[in-house]
Amino acid sequence: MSMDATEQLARTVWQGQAVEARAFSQREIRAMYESFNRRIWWRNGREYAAAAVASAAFGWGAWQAQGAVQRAGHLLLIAAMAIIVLRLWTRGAARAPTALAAEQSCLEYHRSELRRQRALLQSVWRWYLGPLLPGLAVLYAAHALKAAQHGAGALLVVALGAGVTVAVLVGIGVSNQRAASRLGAQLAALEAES
Amino acid sequence: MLAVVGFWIGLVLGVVAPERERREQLYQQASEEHGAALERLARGYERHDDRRRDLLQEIHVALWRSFAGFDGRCSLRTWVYRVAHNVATSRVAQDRRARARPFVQLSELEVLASADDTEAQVGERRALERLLGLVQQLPPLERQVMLLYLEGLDAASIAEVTGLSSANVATKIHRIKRVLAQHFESDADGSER
Repeated sequence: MSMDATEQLARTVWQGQAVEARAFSQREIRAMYESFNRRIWWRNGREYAAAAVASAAFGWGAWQAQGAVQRAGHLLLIAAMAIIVLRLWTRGAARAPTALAAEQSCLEYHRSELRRQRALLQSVWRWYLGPLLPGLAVLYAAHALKAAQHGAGALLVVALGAGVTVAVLVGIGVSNQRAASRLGAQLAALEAES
Repeated sequence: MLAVVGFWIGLVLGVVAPERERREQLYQQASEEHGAALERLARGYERHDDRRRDLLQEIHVALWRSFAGFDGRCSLRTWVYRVAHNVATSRVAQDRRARARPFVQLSELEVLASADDTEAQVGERRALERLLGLVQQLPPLERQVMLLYLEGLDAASIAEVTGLSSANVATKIHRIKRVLAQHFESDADGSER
C-alpha cells in the first residue's frame, strides 16, 4: 500500500466522521459568552475572597496582638495580600476566550502564551512570595522575642515553625522555577521551528 | 439640544448596528462552512464528551467575538482555523491532566510504530480511533499541522494558519505521511481484502 493510499484512507476516515455541524444562534452564543464571563468572575472572585479572608484573619491578629512588633507583622501581611491581589487583578486573572486569537498565527500565539506564563512563574518571588517575607519575618521575630522569655524549648518551637514556613516558600519558588524552565524549553523548541 | 442628542444616537446606531450585523453574518457563514471541521478539530484536542462540548462552545464564542476585528486580510477559513486552534491550544496548556501527559513528537511516532500497531484490523471505526490516538498525543504545533492536513488543506494554507515556514510544513507533512503509512498499512490492506 503506497503512502498516497494511506494518506487518502486517513483523510477519508477523518473527514467521514459522523459529526453534527452546529451553528449556534445569536441568543445561544450570547448566553454562552455570559456563562463564560460568569464562570471567570467566580474563579477570580474565589481568589479575591481567599485574600479577603486571609486579610481579615491578619486584621484580627493585629487587633489582638500583644506588642507593636507582632502588630506590625500582621499589618505587613495585610499589605502583602493587597499586593498579591493587585497583581492577580492586573495581569494574572483568568480571561474570557480572546478575540486576539485570530490576529496571530498559531506559532506566534503559542509563543506569546508561553512567554506570558513563563514570566508569571519566574516572577513568583516578586509578586507572591516576596511580599509575604517582611510580614512573616517580623511576625516570627515577635514570636521569638516572646518565646525567649520562656526558655530554649519555646524558642526551638518558633524556629521550627519558621523553618517549615521557609521550606514551604522555597518549595513553591523552586517548583515555579522548574515549571518556568520547562516552558523555556518549549519556547526554545518553538524558536527552532520558525 | 434634542437635535444634538438625536444626531449622536443616530450616529451610534448607524455605526454599531451594521457592525454587529456584519459580525453575526460572518459568524453564521463560518459556522455553516466550517462547523463540521470545528467539531472534528475539538475531537482532536479533547477525548471526553463533556470537555469536548465545552471546548467547542469556547471556540464558537471566541469566533463570534473575533469577527468584530475581521478585516479580510486573510481568508475566512484561515481566520476560523487560527481562532479554533489557538483557543484549543490554550485550553490544553491550561489543563493540568493534559500537561502531566508527555507529548510525543512525529519523529518519535515514526519509531514507535510496533508490531502491535500493525496487526490486521479492519474497519473505519478502528482506523478513526487509531487516528485520534495519534493526534491527541502530539504537541500543539504538530497537532495543528496534522489536523489541518487531515482536513485536506495544502501546505501553503497550513503555513498561513500556523505561521510555520512552507519548508517546515513540507517536512512535517512528509513525516505525517510516513507515520500514517506505518500505522494504517494493515487497515488499508484489510479494507482491500
